[in-house]
Amino acid sequence: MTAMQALLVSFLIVAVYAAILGALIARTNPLAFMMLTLAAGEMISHSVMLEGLRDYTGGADGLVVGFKGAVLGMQAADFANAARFWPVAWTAAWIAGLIIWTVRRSRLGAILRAVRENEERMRFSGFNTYAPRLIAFVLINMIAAVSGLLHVLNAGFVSPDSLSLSVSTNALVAALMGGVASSAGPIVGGLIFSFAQDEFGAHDATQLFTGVAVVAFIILIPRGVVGGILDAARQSTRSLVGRKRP
Amino acid sequence: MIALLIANSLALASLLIMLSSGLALIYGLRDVINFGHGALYMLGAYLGYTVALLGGFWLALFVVPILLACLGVAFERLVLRPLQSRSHIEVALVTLGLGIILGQILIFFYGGAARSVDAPRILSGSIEAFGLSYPA
Amino acid sequence: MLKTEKLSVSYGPLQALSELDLEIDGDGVLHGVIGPNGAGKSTLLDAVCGRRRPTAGTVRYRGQDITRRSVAWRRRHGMARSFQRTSIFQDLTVYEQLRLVAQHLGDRRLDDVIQVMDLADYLDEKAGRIAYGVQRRVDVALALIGRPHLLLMDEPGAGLSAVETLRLFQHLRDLVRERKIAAVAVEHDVDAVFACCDKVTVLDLGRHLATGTPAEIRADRRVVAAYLGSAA
Repeated sequence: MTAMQALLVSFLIVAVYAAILGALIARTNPLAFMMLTLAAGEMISHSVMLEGLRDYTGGADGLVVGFKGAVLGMQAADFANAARFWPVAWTAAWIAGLIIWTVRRSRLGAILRAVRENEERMRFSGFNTYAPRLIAFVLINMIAAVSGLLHVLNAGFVSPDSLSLSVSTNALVAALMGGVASSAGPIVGGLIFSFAQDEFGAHDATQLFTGVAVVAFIILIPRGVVGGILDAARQSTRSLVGRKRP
Repeated sequence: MIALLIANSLALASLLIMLSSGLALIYGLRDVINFGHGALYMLGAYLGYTVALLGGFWLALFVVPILLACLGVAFERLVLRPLQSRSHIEVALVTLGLGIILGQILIFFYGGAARSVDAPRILSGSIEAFGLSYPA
Repeated sequence: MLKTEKLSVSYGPLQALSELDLEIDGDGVLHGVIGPNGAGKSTLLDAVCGRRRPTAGTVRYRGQDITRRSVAWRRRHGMARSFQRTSIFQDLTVYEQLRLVAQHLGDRRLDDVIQVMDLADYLDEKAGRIAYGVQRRVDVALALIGRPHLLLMDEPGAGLSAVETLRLFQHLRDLVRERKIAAVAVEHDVDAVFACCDKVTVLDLGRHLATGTPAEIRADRRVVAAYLGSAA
């Protein structure tokens, strides 16, 4: 199997997994859903350490991943090279952002927002509230799969740490920092978070940074950096133009 | 062998029961998911260790719950009340952040090595039950 | 239009509704349901609209047995419900939420609903920011979209003054006559019910007590004894 084929197959496997998991848990209330995704994540991250699967997963030592040939016109060495890799990652991030933005503006996005607000009333208005949530779940998992695959190409190595809970919480913190109310927010948040983590990492305080960042951002800048900028822009245009009456 | 497993499980389970009933209580009464609950558990253990060093196990057993109770009141007043109007997930994430911070503070003060507390005489030794000698 | 046969709902040991037989005709009828607290009025609506599974009995809608159908199915087939505790979308504007539902149910005549419920002035306001009385009108408006055949209203007058409730019921009566639909309104404000409803059913402790015109019910001794007392 060529490297490209392997990537595609992995992507499909994750998509199928997301569909099955989503089918099971998309119906539940927000809290139960949160705990179920947590449980599912932990299940996977611990299963790679099973003795029986050691040959495939490398157990606690992890797996070195390399490939011959080219993927997207680049060699393995190119992926490991930050200068040559970052355009790929950056493009992927913005494409993902674009996809999310399109969904937000679509009918599916409107339905999802309404379901988040008042799921019961949506059912009472004739909507199937299960299907949209399932679709959204599979979509975001597919995006996560892409980022995971890119990570493997870049790092050339994967271990149980790559699957740990802190990866999820870091992603969450990064999204919060940028602002979850917009499509560009998480991308900006990712930038801020990575820079900041490198800074704090120099003083060996990454965990502390994560904790402080979460608390500070939620209390002070709940809509994140991008959200805050958008709000400020809205306020100033409103005071300039006056309230519009349609 | 089975009896030993059962005894071990019961011991761990009772700790877990205490921990989770606290979590359930806060959720049921205040509608708050406290992701920092585990960190508080850790704080209790480390405080217990410190107090026990100073005044023995029984003093720790008496004093630490009171200390943590005060911390609970402070947590309610300083954290939960001001954030009352925020959404569930925001509050839950704040507790997560605070839990992480608390954990890091404890690691800073106590280091990463394991510490032990000596059990008082009444609770040391073993109990004979079901033909098995189990540490009290 | 609507028929319940021996409908029973129990919450564990509590029997909220016992073997209720009720028939609602279509074609321009406003049917009020009254009774003391705990009579099972809200439970009746819950069972009819599918929010709660009945423990026994059947619900027939337009001749079909719909006891097992989902809430969403019932709504798509013309059975709409409004809520006692206003259930709308706080963060969407009034227009956005009405349009969302209208698009889904294929209703092009949103202006009708807006006009009937007098919401024209509030279309661009976020629903969370408007007065409670207006929010209740949005709640009812959401139920009116899609030209339902059967309207189930759970205490539409809750939180409104007596004057507002009466006006709302008059509105409902006109709407029902004009569109030739059926509406069932569970309500505590007995005056509004007697003034505007064509038929009234009285429930007591989960059982059917009496059904008839407002005049008949007012004169019914059992009803007076159980519920109306000197208020009749």
